[in-house]
Amino acid sequence: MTHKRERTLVTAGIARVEGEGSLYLRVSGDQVDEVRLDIYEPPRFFEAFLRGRSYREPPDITARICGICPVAYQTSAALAIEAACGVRIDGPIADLRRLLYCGEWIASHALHIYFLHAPDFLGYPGAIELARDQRAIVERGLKLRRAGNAIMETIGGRAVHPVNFQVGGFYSVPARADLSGLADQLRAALDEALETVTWVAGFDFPELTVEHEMLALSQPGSYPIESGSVVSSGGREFAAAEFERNVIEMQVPHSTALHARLAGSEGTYLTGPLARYTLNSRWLPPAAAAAAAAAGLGDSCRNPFRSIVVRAVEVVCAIEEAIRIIEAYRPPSRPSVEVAAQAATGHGVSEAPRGVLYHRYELDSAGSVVSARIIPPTSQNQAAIERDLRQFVQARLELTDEQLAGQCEQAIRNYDPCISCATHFLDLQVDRT
Amino acid sequence: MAIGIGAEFRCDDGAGPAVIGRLRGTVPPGVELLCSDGEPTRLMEAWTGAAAAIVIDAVCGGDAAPGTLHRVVVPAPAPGQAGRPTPGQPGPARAPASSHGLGLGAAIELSRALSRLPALLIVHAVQGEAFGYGQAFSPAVAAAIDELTARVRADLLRLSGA
Repeated sequence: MTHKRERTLVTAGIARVEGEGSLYLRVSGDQVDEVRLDIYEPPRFFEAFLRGRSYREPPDITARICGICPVAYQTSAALAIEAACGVRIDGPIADLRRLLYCGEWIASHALHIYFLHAPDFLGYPGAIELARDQRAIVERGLKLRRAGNAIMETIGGRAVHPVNFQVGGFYSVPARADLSGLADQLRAALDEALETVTWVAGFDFPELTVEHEMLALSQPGSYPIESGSVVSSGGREFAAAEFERNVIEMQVPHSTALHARLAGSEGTYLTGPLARYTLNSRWLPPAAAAAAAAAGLGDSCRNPFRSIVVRAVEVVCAIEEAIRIIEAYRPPSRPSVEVAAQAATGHGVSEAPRGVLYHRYELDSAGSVVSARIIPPTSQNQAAIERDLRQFVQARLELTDEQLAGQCEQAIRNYDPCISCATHFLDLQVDRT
Repeated sequence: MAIGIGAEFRCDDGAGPAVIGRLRGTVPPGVELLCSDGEPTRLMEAWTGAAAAIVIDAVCGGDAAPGTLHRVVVPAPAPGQAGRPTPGQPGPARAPASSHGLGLGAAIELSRALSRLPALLIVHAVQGEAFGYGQAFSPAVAAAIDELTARVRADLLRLSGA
């Protein structure tokens, strides 16, 4: 604290988030004047160096944006390119894509729940200290992560940056027998996932209700993962091709990642697990729906601290879905469908673990990428995170700077931000004046 | 087993995977050779159950000159000390900020906490100086790779009884 009525709080390097960023808070008297989520990872220029590349390359190139959600990048890229080329993938190839994506959700959410987020609620500085005291719990998280990775390895060829994914489908597909061991592993993991929901539902959650417009995909009949149209709690409904007419990106001085707002709205919006759950809870499969009800989630969830419960429910959902897909699986006659290049523009959206991920590619008649646009979820959520922090800090000004910094970091981890994706972010600084 | 840690497209950081590539076909059958991006849970899963493991990595910081080779033996915890840090041994010097900064030290500490540390873990490291984009080693690391490979091979041969 610099002065009784003037405070500046700076957190330099926010812990347990994906990537590098910092937080600056300025407080005057009883009012929070400024909240800045400073993202200083250098821009990564992916859209620029995709220009001139073959239309077959974006899934593999953009997968490298993230080691946690490469399948999300592959999927949104492929959907956009296939749309440009007039191809729609369905049947068992689409099912295998959903299965692969379930693997990514399980692995990503298990990592965040057990290794990045749970230590906050249990008073541990990190997962290593949690593991020393509660070994069985951390082992459970590792088993879940392993189950997710096993899907990625079986369908995608490896757990990070899968190599078996291509525009039009896959390079090879498994036989039914190849998936029997995976199904057994997932049935065991379902019990671990249900125990996880019960475990996290017992945490103490600070009071915070956010009023953002919620934005997520919708796949009526199923919980949205690998495709869908875009819907919002404000009544918006639009296809991927309309994304840039509805989501307006803008530069802000303190971030190398673009901020975003919804067209025609001065308010903030949120994508990710809370939005997905709030807009799609009715489509959860049975075990996930029952686990959500038992955890007291209700039909919607607007407390970001409870996002850990939503993620745990989504792990159950992803495992149920994976088992369902495997049990119904009949290999396609070919691992991929032919996708011939044409001069056109295509758009793709999917639900990355952190929220809606949009890709757009303009191709020429030879199939070269003329222009590309990628809008990742953390980028979209920056303004909402800043607004939530302002509300959160305003109600906690009596705290010391150290306490405030710690709770702000925890609040930021609620969103599981992937800063590397967004800059492609965290230090905390608070000014009290 | 031997695990090369690093990213082959970040200059000197690719030293670990490069050593693994040079070892292929030159070590006894049964010696497992792996490459890893160093993510702690996957690294821990890789060496879980191994009696002995050798890790090859590029390091920065400290006063050592680029190209300097380091060898550190990480012992298993003494009886009754499972799960506790071993004083003076590698581990996170401070809580890293971004999860992207978690690496070998976190993997070792997490493995200790979960009793998954091999009975013998040897870390071979080369002091790097260039960690930018690219596949070319700095001159100092390029000059040290053969000696680093030879030292790792010698440990593997000794541990496998060859």
